[in-house]
Amino acid sequence: GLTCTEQNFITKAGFHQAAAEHGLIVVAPDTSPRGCNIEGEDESWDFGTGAGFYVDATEDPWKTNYRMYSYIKDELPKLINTNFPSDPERMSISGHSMGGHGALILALKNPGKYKSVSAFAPICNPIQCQWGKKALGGYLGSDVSKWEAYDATQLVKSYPDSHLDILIDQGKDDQFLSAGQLLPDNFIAACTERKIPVVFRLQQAGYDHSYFFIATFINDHIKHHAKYLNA
Amino acid sequence: PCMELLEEHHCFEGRQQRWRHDSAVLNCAMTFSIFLPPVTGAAKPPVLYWLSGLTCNDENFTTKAGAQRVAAELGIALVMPDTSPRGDEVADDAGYDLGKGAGFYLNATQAPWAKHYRMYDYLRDELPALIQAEFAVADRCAISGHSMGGHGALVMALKNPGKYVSVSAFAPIVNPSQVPWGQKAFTNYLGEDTETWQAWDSCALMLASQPEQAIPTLIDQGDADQFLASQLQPAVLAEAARQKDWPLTLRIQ
Repeated sequence: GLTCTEQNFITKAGFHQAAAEHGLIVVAPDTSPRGCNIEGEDESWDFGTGAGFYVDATEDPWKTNYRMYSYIKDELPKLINTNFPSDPERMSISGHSMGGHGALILALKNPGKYKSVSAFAPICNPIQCQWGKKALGGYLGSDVSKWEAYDATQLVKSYPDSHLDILIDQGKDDQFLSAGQLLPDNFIAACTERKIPVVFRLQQAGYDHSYFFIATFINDHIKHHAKYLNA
Repeated sequence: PCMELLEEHHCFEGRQQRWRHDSAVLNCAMTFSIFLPPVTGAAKPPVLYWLSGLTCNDENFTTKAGAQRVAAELGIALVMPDTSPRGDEVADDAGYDLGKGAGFYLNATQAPWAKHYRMYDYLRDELPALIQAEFAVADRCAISGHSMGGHGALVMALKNPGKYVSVSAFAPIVNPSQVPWGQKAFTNYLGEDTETWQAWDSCALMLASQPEQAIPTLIDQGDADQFLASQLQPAVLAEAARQKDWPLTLRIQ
């Protein structure tokens, strides 16, 4: 998510035990390009560095470097499959917050590419929330119709099949939930209408947006993916 | 005592908190972290104290070790103190292995350290009293730690028979009076007289211990640990344990 590098998940989520147990390689990319010398890239914590939003920017001065969508979809998997003993036919995707948005849109824009998808407190409907409007506007320009291609709630409305098992965990006491940045209800409603199977767990006991929340439920997510990856 | 809650997160159905309080023993404000497992029935949870190593504070173990899962399962509270006194008034050194973040869990006798560097008294008396008074925990406790904190855990246990039911350590500095880290710390904190160092050296303490004081001791040590040969040397403690019939399990991973 926002402000993270690949290290946050690696050091804080406690995923290694379950990943080892289920025999899964876990790849944690960074959240944006770095050191691009773009004016303003470090000004905000929710735009630019550490805030790539997993899109391919079309606007100057971002479009040369801010192409995290293509990076995650094509370049990184190719690199991983060339250099590591990974099975190129079996991969899944997950993420937190902005990364939850990233996981959902990558899965929805590429039917069949991922065996399963899951998310922790994802930004489900960026065209409707402050974070999304700022990022999509900055990277894609002011035409909102261009934003829809990177919005999970919009994408699911036209998702061509139903073979995508989605698991979402959302902390009930997440400050960004109450601030209207995440909007899971919109996504769940769209999934329900399209009959896409989604398990949405609104975690009762006061979980927030932190890595303590992720650590608590990461085993469930890994098991969810292992079910499809090891089938 | 005046305590301020800095942070609280739900975690494995328990609560992970970070607090600040004014320490009379250390003469400064101190932070500590505590994991309170989910409440199940009337019994209060016992406490495991965790001591971290050089450069750490109370957050490293809290965020990186993944201990909360099993602590919640077993109904054990975790208390993570800081590794030294803190604040602008507190003496420091440019080195990572002396001063702030490098308290070595002893009571310093030398200037400029003696005024604040009393982590031993803090951990033996002040912090446990605070924990007992402010949290619904049992008085049964154990202690563990990593590296300098492993040294701390072993020294706390060896110097206070009966206080802890068990002790464990990850890659502990077991023989500080004989290795560079320990010699630097002890020279500065305790002075040149190496006799005074023995009271803070686990190997010396174990060799001087009585049989009835022995408690179950577990040590894990990585064999690709860059500090193993020069600073840690667990084999020396294993030999002391052998001589004293001390129930030590040493696992080289």
